[in-house]
Amino acid sequence: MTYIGQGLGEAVRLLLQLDPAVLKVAWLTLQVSGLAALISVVLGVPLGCALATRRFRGRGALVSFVNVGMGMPPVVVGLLVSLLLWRYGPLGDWQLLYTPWAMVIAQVLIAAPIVASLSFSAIVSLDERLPLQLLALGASRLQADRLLIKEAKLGLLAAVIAGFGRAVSEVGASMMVGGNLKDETRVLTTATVLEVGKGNYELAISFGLILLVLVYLVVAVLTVLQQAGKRGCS
Amino acid sequence: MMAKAVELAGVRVARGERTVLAVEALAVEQGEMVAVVGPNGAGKSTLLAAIGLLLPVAAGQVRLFGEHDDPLALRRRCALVLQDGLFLTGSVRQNVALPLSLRGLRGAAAARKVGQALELFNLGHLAARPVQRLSGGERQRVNLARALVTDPEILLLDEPFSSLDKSARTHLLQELAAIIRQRGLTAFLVSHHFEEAAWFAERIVMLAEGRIVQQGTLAEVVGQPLNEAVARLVGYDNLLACTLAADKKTVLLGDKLPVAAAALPDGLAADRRICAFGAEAVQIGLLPSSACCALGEGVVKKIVPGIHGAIVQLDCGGVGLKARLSSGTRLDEGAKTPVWLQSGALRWVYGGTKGAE
Amino acid sequence: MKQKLWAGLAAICLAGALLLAGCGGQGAAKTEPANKDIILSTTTSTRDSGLLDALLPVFEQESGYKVKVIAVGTGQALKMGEQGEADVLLVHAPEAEKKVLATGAAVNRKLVMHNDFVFVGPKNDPSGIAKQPVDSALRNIAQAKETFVSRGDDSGTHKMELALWKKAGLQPEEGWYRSAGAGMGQTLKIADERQGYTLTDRATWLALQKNMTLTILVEGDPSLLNIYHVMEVNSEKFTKVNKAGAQAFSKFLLSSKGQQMIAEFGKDKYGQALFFADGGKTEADLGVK
Repeated sequence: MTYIGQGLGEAVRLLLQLDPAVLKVAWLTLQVSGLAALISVVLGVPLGCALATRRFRGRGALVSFVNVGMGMPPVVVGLLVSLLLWRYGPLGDWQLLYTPWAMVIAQVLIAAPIVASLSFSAIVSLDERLPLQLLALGASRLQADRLLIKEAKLGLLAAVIAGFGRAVSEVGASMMVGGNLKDETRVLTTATVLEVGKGNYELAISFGLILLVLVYLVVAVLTVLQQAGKRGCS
Repeated sequence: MMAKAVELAGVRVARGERTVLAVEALAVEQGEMVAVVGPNGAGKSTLLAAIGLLLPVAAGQVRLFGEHDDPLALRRRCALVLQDGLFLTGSVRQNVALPLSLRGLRGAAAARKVGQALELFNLGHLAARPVQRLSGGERQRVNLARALVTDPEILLLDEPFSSLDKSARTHLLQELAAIIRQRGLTAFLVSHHFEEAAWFAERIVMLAEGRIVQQGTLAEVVGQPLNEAVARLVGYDNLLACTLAADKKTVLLGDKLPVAAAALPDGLAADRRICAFGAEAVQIGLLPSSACCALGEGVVKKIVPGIHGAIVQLDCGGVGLKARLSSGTRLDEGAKTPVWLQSGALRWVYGGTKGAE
Repeated sequence: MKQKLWAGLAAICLAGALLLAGCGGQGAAKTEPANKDIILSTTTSTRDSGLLDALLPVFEQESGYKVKVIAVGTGQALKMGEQGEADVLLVHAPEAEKKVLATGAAVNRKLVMHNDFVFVGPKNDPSGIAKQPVDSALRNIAQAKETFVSRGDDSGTHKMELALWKKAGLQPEEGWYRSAGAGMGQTLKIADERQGYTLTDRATWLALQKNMTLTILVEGDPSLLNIYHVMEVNSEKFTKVNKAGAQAFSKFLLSSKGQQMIAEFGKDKYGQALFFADGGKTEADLGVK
């Protein structure tokens, strides 16, 4: 297959020339998935923490709900969000369909349960008496939570990395609610699918390669943060 | 009249459907040292956590220093020391400083207190070391330093020395007891080892299955154990049910061994049917050392060696007894030997709940 | 040091959020219509031909509208019209379109342009279909059991292909008939790989032919015409439809400027036009029933 060789060559050429169309798609990918990952973390980490440290009625149900969310097929999420955002759907008046915001919503719904579940694991893997010990040292509930999060930093950063990875890899849902509109909602994943469908394999490979590079860079930054925490200085 | 340091009233702690702790009343004065003793699962740790306002109570009230309005503030006047110190990633100094920073105390004033606490337990040279790299004994010292750095008024010690070897344990316990007395702290010690508890505290609280079965001074608890559980906890080796023989002058130990009723303290009564005595009270050999009753001949079943002499398990007339064998005396399993009982060493186990409420 | 990294990360995300927020207001136009957004539902092959990429910027510049091109399968495109989820439709499945028109979901169906389908196959043409009428060409392929690759995705092209088999009275069998379930470009690539036959629209063929070893074998038959109509979604049935926008787009497609652009499209790149502009005509004019 000569495609791979040609594809790689084309990809490198586009990257080096900083082709504006390609850059635009890459930047949009970073914006949409970065924002979705951020929101997922803001929602998911406190949720995972609360599930790990608090006992309250309905906790079991909420844990199951999060686990279901993790296993939910993303394409179903895309369908659900579409149904909500269609003109004649319940949220149709907000006119969010076929905008980047719709994609952010879908990606959050897909990534947040993963972040919550992994955060839960990270906190739960600490000694189970640690919350008690922190309270015994005079911490308020809030202070104890902050300390637990700090102590579970390694696991929590893994949760963030997983959340971002999930958000940025999403294709089906992003396509369904975004419409893959040129310059507006076309991101690296949907652009790759588009070019494959057209038979432009070289361009598809270059998008794929750029996506890999992008994900690698973000994960590398987060990993540096994670490992910095390991040295125990703060 | 100073408010009592700790008061529990009608306190019940539940885990799911089960009640794990039910204390009707417990009152401890300021400066008292209390030992909490009981078998595994008795609820000792739960009791300490309840006193320290660290868990929600399903019923009842816990008052510290007569107050109960601001749990956080009251909690901050206590300190809990667990069996294995749980620390956050960081150096010894950082961990000891944590309770202070939680209370908003930082900077030079905090550094001074941290230094004092470290000095108290000879940890100055370890201040910068990561906690993870300390030995068990050193970690417990840091644990104690961390507990005392905030000058708590109530100290809760949950088997703090269980994972240390005997000499380290004894040493630290003595140090700690001295500090507690010097500062006039109210202290609770949970221990598996009755001797430790007895040495440490003026008052002993015995817990079994979430309830207080007896509390009192050492003499009270040892002299008048209220039930078998307490007697076992206190360390009596032999516990035998007794009945009155047909002639009304002989008591049958273990329902089999006859002993003159007159030789027993207090005589047999409805609420005193179980007698308890230590292995020292049972003598074997030809010449008993002091006033004894003869129990007849016994067969040696098993010999368990120890530093104070071996414990010999005997079968005497169908009743299992434990005797102490003085070092130097040789005996083989299966040997037959006369058995004597120092009746003065007998104690009755009282039925009922005397001293517990 | 770590705090700086965190601050940097937060700054990037904040910037992202702000940029996304500012994503809406791009490009000034001469007149600002009340409802700027038009949802155009069309097919993937129409989008892939690149025609809209040429037409839309001109339309948007002139009218001030912003067109969102939702390119999906023909079935979904028409369904969006039936549900009022689009404003205007540009598809090429006349039978299905007429059904939608009959339900009253769409109005003002107008012929815009056509292109044609061609059969392509290996240069050595093992079934000997070159220059045959469609019926006998298909019969030859079926008898010789030569590989035929179908789009198999319920698209307009696929429906056309199935209709042609039916008209020839043939039922293609598993084994030599392969259903790709893919877009046109990919289907062509597959046919090229396997040196088989396939039906393709001329536009996609012209775009990809330079990389292909296949060649056009059958063309020009009236049954191979691929006719595009534009339809406005009925704003009386669906109040949320952008009636003015739909009308403006339809008008543009049929305007002399629009028609000229359609007629010229592809000439510079492929040497021949991809579409024939048919504004004002009817299907009868093209020789189709």
